[in-house]
Amino acid sequence: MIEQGQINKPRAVNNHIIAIGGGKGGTGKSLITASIGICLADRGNSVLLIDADLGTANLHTFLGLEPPKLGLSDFVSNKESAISGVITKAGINNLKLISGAKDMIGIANLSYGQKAKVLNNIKKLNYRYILLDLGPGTSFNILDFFLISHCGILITSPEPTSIENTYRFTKGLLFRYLRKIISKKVVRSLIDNGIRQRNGHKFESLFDLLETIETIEPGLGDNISSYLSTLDIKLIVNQVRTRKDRAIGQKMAIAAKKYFGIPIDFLGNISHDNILRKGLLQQKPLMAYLPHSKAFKELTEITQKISPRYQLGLGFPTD
Amino acid sequence: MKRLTEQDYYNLLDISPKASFGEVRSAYDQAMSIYSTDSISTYTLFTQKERKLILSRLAEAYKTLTNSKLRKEYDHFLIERGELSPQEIGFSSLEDSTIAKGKLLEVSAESLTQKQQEVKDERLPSDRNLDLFGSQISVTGKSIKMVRKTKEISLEEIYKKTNIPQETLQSIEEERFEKLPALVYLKGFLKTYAKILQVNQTEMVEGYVKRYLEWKNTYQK
Repeated sequence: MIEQGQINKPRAVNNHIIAIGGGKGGTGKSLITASIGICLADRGNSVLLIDADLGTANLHTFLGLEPPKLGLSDFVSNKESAISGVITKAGINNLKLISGAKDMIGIANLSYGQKAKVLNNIKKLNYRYILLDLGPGTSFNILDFFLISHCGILITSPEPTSIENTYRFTKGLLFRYLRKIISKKVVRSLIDNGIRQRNGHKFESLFDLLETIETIEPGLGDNISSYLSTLDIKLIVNQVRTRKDRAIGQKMAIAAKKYFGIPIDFLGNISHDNILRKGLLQQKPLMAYLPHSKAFKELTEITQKISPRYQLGLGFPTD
Repeated sequence: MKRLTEQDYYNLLDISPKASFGEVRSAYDQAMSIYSTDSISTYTLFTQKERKLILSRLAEAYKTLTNSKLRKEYDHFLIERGELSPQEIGFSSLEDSTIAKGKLLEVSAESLTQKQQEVKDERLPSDRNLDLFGSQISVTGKSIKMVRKTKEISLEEIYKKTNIPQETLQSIEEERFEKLPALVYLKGFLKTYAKILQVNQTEMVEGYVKRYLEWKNTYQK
C-alpha cells in the first residue's frame, strides 16, 4: 500500500551534504575537502565537490585542473540557468566539481536571494556525497551554508589563533542556528542584540542567552538545548606535529560538549606532511602524491568515520 | 544542560560516584589540562571570569572527592537533593576496606612509634586541605609515603610534574637526610610535594623540616 504523501512528494534525494569550514584561513580546508572527496569517490561513491570559497577558490588546483570555464557564479548570476550546467569533471571516476575559480565576489557578499537559490539547488542535487568547501570567515552566509548541511566539519590547526577562530565559528554558528529556529520575535531580537553587542559582552556564553530566554519563555531554553544536541559537528586537527598537538582535538571536543552542550565529534588528526607541500608546489594533482603521504592513512581513517549516521531532521529553513 | 560550574563534582570531572582516589586524581589532571589558563585547547573559549570560576570549582571538587570525610558529606548532600541514589555510591565500601582514613591513621600511628604531639600546636591552620596529616599522626618520611600511596601517585608522576628528581623524593620518604639538598631547596621541594599530595603545605614542610633539623643537630655538629 502506498501512502498518499509518497505519491505526491518528489523522490527524496538521498544525498549527504558535508560542509567543511572553521574560521581561520590556511588550515588546509581545501586540501582536506579534496582528499576526502578523492577517498570517497575511490570507494565507488558519487561525489560532488563545491568550491564555495568564492573569491579565493582553489579546489581545482589541488585536483590538478585548469580553472574551469564555468563556475558557481555563472549560476548565481543566471548565466547558467541550471546548477547542473556548471558541474565539471574532476579527472577522477565518480568525482565532479563545481568550481569557484572564476568568481570575483566572495560568498559573504551574496545577496539573500542568491544565497537561497544556491542553497535550495544544492539540496536537490543527486550525489551520494556533496562536499562544500566554505573557505575562511564567520559571516552569516558562510554559517548558513554550514547549517544546511547534514554534517559540518571544522578544521583547525594546533595554533591558538586557529583554535580561537574555531570557537568563534562555533559560537557564531549556534547563535545563527538559534536565530533561525526560534520564531519568537522577542527571542530573535535578544539574539540579534547579543551578536551586535558581542564586544559589550551581553551574552558571554550560550548559557547566559539560554537563561535570559528561559525567563522570557519558560521551557524554551530546555527546548533549545535539545535542538542543539542534534547538530552534527565534527572536528579535524590538521598539521599536527607533536604529541601535545595530538591531544588538542579530544580536549576541544570535551570542552565544547561540556560548555556548549554540543556533541562535537572529534574525527582525528592529520599530520603535518612535507610530501603534500612538495606535491602542491610542483603543481601535481593531489591523487598523484596523496597516497604516498603520511597523512593519507589518517585521511582514509577519517573518511571512514564520515557516514550519514543520521540527517538533521530539522529542515533548516533557507527562506 | 547545566552550566559547567553548576554541575555536581562527579559530572564536572566526568567520573562515577564510585571512582577511587586515583580515578579522581587522573580525572582532575585531565580536566586541568583542558581548563587551565595555559591550555591551548580552550584558548578564548571562556572569559577570564568564567575560567576562574571553573578552575576554583575544579579545585573544590578535587579537594572534596579526595577527602573521605568531605566526600561522604557531599554524597549525603547529593542524596538529600535527590541527585544521587544511595546505591550509586560505591565509595564507602572501598573506603572501609582500604583507605578508611581513621583506620589508616590508626595503623600508621601504631607503626610509627614517635607520636609527636608538638605537631598539634596552634600554629597549624585549621582549614587543612586534607587532614591525612591529622593531629594523631606526625609528619615523617614514612607517613608522607603512605599519603602518596593512598592517593595512588607514583614518584615518576611527581617527577614529571615537578622536576624534582626521583632519588630526592625517595630520600625524603626514606629519611636519608644525608642525601637531601640544602635546607632552602628541601623546603621548596617539600612545598611542591605537599601541593601535589593536596595536603597542608605548612604542616608538611614544618613537620618534616623539624625532623630534618633534629637529625642535623644530632649528627652534624
